[in-house]
Amino acid sequence: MRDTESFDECYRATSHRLLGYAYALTGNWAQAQDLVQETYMRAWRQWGRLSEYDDVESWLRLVVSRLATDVWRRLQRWRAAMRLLGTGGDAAPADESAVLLQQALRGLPRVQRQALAMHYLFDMPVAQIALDAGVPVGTVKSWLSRGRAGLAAALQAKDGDRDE
Amino acid sequence: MMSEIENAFARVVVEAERQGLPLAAQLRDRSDRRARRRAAVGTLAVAAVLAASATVLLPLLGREAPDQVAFPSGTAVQTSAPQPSTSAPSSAPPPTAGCPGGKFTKTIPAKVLVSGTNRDVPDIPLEYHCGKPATGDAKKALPKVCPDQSDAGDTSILGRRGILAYLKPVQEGYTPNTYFHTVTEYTAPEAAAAYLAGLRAAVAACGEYRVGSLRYDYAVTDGPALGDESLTLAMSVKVDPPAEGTPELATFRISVVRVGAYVSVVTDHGWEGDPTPDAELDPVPTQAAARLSTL
Repeated sequence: MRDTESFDECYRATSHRLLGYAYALTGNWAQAQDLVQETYMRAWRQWGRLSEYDDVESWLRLVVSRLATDVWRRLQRWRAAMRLLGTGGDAAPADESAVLLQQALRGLPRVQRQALAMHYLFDMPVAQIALDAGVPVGTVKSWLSRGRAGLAAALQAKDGDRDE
Repeated sequence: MMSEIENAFARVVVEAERQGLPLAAQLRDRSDRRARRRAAVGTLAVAAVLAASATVLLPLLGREAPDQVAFPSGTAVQTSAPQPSTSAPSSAPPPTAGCPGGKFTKTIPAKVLVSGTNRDVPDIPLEYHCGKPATGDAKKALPKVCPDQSDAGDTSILGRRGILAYLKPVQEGYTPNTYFHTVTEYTAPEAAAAYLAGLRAAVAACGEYRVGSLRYDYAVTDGPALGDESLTLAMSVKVDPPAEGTPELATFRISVVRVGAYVSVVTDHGWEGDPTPDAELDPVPTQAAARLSTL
């Protein structure tokens, strides 16, 4: 038997954080909304089991990550087609600074982007990111270090462009 | 710069709070409806298979050929028998393949491809380049029965064209299923027939193989007899190790039909790892064969 109350509470507590994470991975609010909705629909299907997990958000994050990498192109096409037809996305326009970050993130490899998002959006320590990603701690440190350097350079360049 | 990165992510958090999301109850409802739809489609598919089996087997039960009756229909490996070609080979010398200017020798007309029934989403063209291995969706559109199989260098191909097509969702708001449709023109009917023969031989010779966390396995399965010759494959995709949110095992249908020197391949692509229900995909190979016959 699935408990609607615990699901709704989990959704309220985690959905916007997951949305930020999905945005960091895809760079598009409409896609991020799609991914998050799909993730929670899948979660509800298995809620009887999931609700017993100690850390449901970790499962949700994993599904968002997989959807972002595996289904990204198809969802992108779907949304693009919807937008062309004027029937899609009710996502609010993003603020300029978020767009700058999104553009900067896009220049980074997926693993670095994911590690940065986990670290800055979920306050996850390096060891936990390593556990989630299934890689050694040193690898995550390297991703974060390179990711920060790449992001800093990209943000500086964007700032420079904006100042000119 | 550190604080700038932190600030940038902090702004994403603020922006995420500002973005709208549906109510939890709405998502629960959509998830339940999707589950009910899948269950209903599954039941219908089983009923259709049972009805079809009964239609085929009941007349056989009256015959005096017990070996035919004893053959388990579920495991029967059957392909439609090649029929006489409707396109008699021409007395003129066959055209030669090549890639003049990097392009195929022949252009396949768009009308031979079966467009998706989803009027909201246009077909997406697949990119095939003469003499080069297909990549991305163009690669997925054609069966890869053996791990090292490639027809990129096939000198008997004159032209190839394909699409990714979206089917109309069974109900408004549901995700659409998809399929690939590719048509290839070969230098001669014999060369096209060789492609199908190669597929059959590959299924017999190659077993399951792995690409990353996916294990692929092909089998020849029952399918309608179409065109001059046809072949239906079942491509099983196992996710190993299993991944949350993804079906552990899914089987996708691939219908290959030859008419003269043309070969049509319709590959089920489903939606998010789930195959398209048979009833939705069934008309496509038949239409594909009919389109080829107009050439």
